[in-house]
Amino acid sequence: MTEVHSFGNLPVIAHAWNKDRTQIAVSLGKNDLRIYNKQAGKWKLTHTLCEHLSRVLAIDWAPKTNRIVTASADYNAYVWTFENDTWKPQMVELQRTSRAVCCAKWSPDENKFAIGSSDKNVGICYYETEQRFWAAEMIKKKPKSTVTCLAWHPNNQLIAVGSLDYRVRIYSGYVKAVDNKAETSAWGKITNTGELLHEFPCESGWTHDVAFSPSGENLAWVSHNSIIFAVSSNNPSKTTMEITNYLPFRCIIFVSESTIIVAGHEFSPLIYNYDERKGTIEFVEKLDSQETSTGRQSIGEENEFFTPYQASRLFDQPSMQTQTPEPVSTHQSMITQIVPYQTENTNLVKISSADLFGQVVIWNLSGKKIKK
Amino acid sequence: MTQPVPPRTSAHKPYLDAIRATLQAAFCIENFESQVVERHNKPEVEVKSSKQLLLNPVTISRNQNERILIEGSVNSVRISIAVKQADDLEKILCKRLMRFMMQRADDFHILRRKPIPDYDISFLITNFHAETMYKHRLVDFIIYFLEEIDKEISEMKLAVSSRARMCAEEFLKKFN
Repeated sequence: MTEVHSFGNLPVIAHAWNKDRTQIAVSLGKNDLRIYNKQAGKWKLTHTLCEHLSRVLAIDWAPKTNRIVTASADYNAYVWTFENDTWKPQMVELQRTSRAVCCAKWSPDENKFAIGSSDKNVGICYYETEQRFWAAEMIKKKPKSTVTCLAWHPNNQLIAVGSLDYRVRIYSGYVKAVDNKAETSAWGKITNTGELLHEFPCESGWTHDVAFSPSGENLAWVSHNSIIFAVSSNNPSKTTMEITNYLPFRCIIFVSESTIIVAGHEFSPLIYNYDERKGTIEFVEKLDSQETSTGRQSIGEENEFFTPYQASRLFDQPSMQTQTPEPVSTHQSMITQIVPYQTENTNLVKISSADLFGQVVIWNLSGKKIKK
Repeated sequence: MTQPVPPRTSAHKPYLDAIRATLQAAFCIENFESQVVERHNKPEVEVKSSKQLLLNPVTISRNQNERILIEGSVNSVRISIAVKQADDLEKILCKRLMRFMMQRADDFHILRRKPIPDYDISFLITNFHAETMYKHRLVDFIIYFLEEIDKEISEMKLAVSSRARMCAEEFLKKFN
C-alpha cells in the first residue's frame, strides 16, 4: 500500500526522516526547515529552523547521532543538534565556498559529511574537537561545474560525486583527523582526502543523481539524457548504460545489490535490474499502480490549501484543458528526491519520494519483483 | 510525461504535435543557483553564463513565416513564436496585439517583456513556474496559444475591414 502525505502545495525540495520515522524534516522551497511530528496519524509542525537566508537545498538527518545538516543557496551549511527541546545550529566553516551549497550528506558512520556547491567545490566536513567547530577539507581536483549529487560508499571513506560537467567522479573521503586508518577498497587505494580515483563520462548529459549499492560494489547514476549508467568495482573501465525512452530521471536508489529504482520527470518511479556479469540494465516494472494508493494524510484541515489541481481550475479556461489528459499517477509533478524509508537485511522494503506539489509518498516494495 | 495526443483534425496537426513533443522534453527543468554571482538564481537561457548549461536550440517551422524557436537550459526554457503575417494589415495587427500583451507581461507570468529578434512573441518559463504549475497545462497553453493566435488575427482583420467598409459607406453617402 502506498501512503501519500501532503505538506501543502509548496515544492518539497528535500526531505529527511528521523531514525524511527516519526518525524520528518522538509524544505518547502523557502529559507526555513520545518520539522513535522506525527501525532495520532496527523502531521503537526513542531519546529521551524530559520537560520538560512536563502532556499534550503539539501537536508540530511543522521539517525544515530540525531543531527541534521542543512545546505542552502546562501552558501552556508549548518549542523543542527537537538538539546533541551530546541534545535541548536552550528555553522560549518566552508572555506572558499561563496556560492550555493547544493547537496549535503552524512557519511555512514556519521562522523563527517560531504557537501557539494555551485562554485564546483566538494568538501568533506568533520568536527574539529579541539577548536569546537565544523571544519571542511576541500577537494583539490574539483569538478568543472556545479556539483549536483553525492553518495557515500558504505566503508565511510569514498564518495561519488556527480556534476553538471557530464561526469561522475569517485574521490577519497578519508580525513586524517577523524578516520583511524585508510581502508582498502575495491575501487582503488584510498590515500589522502580528495584523491581522484575514477572518472566516468555521461554522454553529454547533466548528472542528476548517483548511488552506491548496499555493499558498495556497484555504482549507478542517471543523467539528463534519460540514460541510466552503472559500473561495478570489478571492472571500472566498463560502464553499462541503458538508453530509455522516458523523460529524464532526477533520482536513483539501490534497493538491493542489483535492483535500482529511478524517478524524475516521468511521474512514476521505475524499477530496473542491473546484471553486472552480463553488463545489462533491464526494465522490470513501474512502481506506481494507481488503484492501490490510499491513506492520504494531510496537515491540518483539508481545505487549508488549494491543491494545484484546484488552483489551476481557477484560472484555466475549459477549452485549454481538453488537450492532454490528466496524468494518472500518484505524483502529479517531477519527483525531486527518493530516500530510503525502511530496511530489512540490507535490502530496502520501503522508500519515500517527494515532489514539487508538496507530496511525500511512501512506497511499499514488497510484492515487487526485486532480486535479493 | 509522454502523453497520447487526442485526435485533432487540423491542417497543422503535425506541426503542433512536433511542438508538443519538443516542449514536453524541454520542460524538464530544475532549480539551479548561479555559478557566477553569489546568491543569485537567474534563468540560464537568458544569462548564458556557460555553454555547458544550455541545450541545443530547436526551430520548428511550418513555412517561412510560421515558426517556433525552443531554447532549453538547465533551469529555464525560452519559447519564441513567429506568427503568420500575409499582408501589411496583418503585420500591423500582430504588432499591436503582441505589444498589448507584452505591456502586461507581469500578469501573464510566463510572458517575456520583449520578443527576441525575428520573432513576434517570446515566453520564458523558469523552474519556479514549473514548481507552481502543471507541466502538461503549460504545454497545452502554448499549443492553445498557437492555435488561437491565427484565428484571433484573422478575426481582427475582418473586423477592421468591415468597419472600414461601414466608414466608407457613411462617408460616401454625403456625395449621393
